[in-house]
Amino acid sequence: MAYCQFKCTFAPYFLQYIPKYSMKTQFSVDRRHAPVLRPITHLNIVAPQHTQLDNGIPAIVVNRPEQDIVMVKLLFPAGNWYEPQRQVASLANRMLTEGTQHLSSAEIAHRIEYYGAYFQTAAKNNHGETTLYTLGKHSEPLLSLAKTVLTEATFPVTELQKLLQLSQQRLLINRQKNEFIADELVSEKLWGSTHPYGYKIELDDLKSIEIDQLHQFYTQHYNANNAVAYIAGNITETNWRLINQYLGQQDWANSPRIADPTHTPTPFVPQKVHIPRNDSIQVSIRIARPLFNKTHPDYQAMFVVNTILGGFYGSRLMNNLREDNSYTYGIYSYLQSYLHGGTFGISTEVGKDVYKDAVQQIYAEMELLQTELVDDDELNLVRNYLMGTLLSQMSGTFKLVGSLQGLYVYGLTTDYYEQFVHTIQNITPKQIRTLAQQYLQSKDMVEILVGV
Amino acid sequence: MINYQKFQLSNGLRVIVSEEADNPLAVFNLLYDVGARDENPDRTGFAHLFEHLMFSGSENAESYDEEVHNAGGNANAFTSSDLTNFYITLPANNIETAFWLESDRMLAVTINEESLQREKGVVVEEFKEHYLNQPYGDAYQKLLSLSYNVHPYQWQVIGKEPAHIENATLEEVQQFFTTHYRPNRAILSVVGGVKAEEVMVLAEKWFGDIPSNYTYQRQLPTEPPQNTYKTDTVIADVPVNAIYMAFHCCSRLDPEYYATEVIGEILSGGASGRLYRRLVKDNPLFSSLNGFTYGHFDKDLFYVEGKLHQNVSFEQALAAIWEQLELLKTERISSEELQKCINKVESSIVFAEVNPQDKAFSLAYYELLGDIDSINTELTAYENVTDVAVQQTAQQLFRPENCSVLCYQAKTPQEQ
Repeated sequence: MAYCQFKCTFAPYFLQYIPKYSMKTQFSVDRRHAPVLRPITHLNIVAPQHTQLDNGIPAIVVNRPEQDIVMVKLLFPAGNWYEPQRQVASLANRMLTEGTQHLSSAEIAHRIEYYGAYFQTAAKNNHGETTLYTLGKHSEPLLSLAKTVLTEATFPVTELQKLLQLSQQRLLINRQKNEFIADELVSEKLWGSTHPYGYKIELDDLKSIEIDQLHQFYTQHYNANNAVAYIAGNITETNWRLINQYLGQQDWANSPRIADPTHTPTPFVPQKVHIPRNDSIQVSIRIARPLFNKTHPDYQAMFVVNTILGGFYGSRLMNNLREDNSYTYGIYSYLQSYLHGGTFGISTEVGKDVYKDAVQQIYAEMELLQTELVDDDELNLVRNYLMGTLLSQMSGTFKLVGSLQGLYVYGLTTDYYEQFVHTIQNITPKQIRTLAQQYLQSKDMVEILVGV
Repeated sequence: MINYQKFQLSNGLRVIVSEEADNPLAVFNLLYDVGARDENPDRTGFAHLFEHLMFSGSENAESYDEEVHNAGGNANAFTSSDLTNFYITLPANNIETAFWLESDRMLAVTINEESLQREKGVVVEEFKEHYLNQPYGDAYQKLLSLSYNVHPYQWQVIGKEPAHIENATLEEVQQFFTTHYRPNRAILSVVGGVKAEEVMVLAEKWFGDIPSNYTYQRQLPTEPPQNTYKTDTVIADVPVNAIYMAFHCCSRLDPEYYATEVIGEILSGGASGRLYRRLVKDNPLFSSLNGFTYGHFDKDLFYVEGKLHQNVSFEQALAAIWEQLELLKTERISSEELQKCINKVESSIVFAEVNPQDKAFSLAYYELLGDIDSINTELTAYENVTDVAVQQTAQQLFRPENCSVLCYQAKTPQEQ
């Protein structure tokens, strides 16, 4: 391996002899002036390949052969949005790896881990997902397993019972946590207690699940006719052929396309919900409102506004509550984009003795954005920071795939990022103030405090 | 296989570079050879508090974070019992800003009464958020106190209690800085869209004139062997009973480390791990159960922790855990189980190379361990582990007199 193999005429190389006190080097550097910054003006987005598997599954392919890794992610319309009863989506997803016609739960786990692979399953608000990560040299047994799990899962009832018991216990533990209670309440107040984005999981939901419901959901939703594939890594001809051989066949393209149901959020009512809890030493603060998702014309500009307010470590909220007041370890505001809507929110945990002032400070920062213009230094800093963030989101194979998925599920293209760069570079202080006036009024928010 | 180049400045700073030609980003990772184990027993949590203080600004850069953000970057840091690590990810063409900022704060960080008071407050809130306001949040501090008598691993990185943090003085802060935050006690690694020659020039330019200090000699007390089974019980307002066990084990640098990791992998390496498979799924006594070690640089602990199901007694639960540990002592693991561990290590090495931040930290970490080249020979070390070595290591580890147990009992068990 390479220790200093090139010529180092300027760097004395004392691996053997290290002086007890080093002597001052002869040349000095002017530290008063920061190095000249080179601003990022554009993103070089490497366009992925849009193709399809032999059975018609649309496939987005990012070929990066530097490491011999193969990633195959499949997205199905199998999230909460589509479930006939609470928790069906999540449990059907978790049961995928709990048994097939020929393999037990234990055998599935062993086979994945034996090859050092990862097979992640997740049910989210809209999609059910399975993601395989494997070394290219083991891709065949893992693709074969993925196929089995997606087409031959048997949903053993004994495994479901164990899963339900675990879920119930986890829920009990989470309900002890202020943060968890606060987050549940936020979703419920923003969307409504029956909406798929908003409902709280209850123990009864878990107790009333039937195995047949899960199996039926699986056959209808986890199907080639409803799938989209994101494929990345070392996609050699062999790997592509194997992907097609196992996932690209007609034999699991036998269900109709899933229709998109409609769910309407409960009309939003701004309100204050304060929940006392004994023994709390911190209060969970959540302030939030419904907003819009990333397809809305104001989204990108609001993203900038949100960054200034609380979207990064150098934000106003962080400076106020953490740096100036030491009220908290951290505070963030965020725009949450969903396929069918979006929200704005602020989230923090603060000392119990200071929570009232903390809430006042949060409102004061929201107010300040509505009354005073952001100065150039601050706006430029946020611009530079955001450009760096976008650059980072587009680099690295898996981050890039994640960013692309975040566009395509909304029907957006990579042009969205060109537009984002334009918005970041051209937004004015006046626009920022106008947006804050429009969307950040404290009277439009729900305020949730847990642990007062 | 990770390619890198390494050199050293005359003041002792070690510099490692790994070039990634097409990466528009770079990671600047600066690791200091100081952690919670170097703390005064009355000032636990100090190394971590100091990590926070390093973001207070420095002589020529009033606001560290603003400068990083202006360069399109993001910075963060973490502290462990053994080390403190700072890192910046930023566009590669702004890499010199990272050199300027990091060298300026190594030369002259600006910490005054005001910044000290402020960070104490933030760290105490962090303490509350993660350790005091959480169910089971104090379990590990209690377990460590039970397991160790003399070694500084007896306190957590966050500290033993908030008062230790609140009592820190400015003088102690200065002392800590001039002792530990010196170039000879640091390792810099730069990964991403940079050239090694360029990094060498920048390292010499910005760090070359920072004085070193060789006065600190780490002399930590050796923990004597434990020879009695220790137990403690906590009764608290938590939803379910939990068990925390700790066995004294080898250090990251000992040859048995790899066999110890294999044991952790066999017990708890994912959904096929024995503890999960046998005692969470097949014979469900626990809702979660894990066995693992952190790989600390001094003699360490192997932990087994689990949450019990409602109708399971502590005696039953402990007996079931011991039965699994005994199996590792009496029977050799199968060649398939051993191969699984090796395959998992191989795959995790390849996956870690994808992320420049992981790669930068790993390079500095292996250099700190004493042999950076071992970053590329780790797999061989695992391949050399035998079933016999695993069995012997288990026999050494899983002895009652080598074990401390904390039973965390729910005050009023909730209905399920």
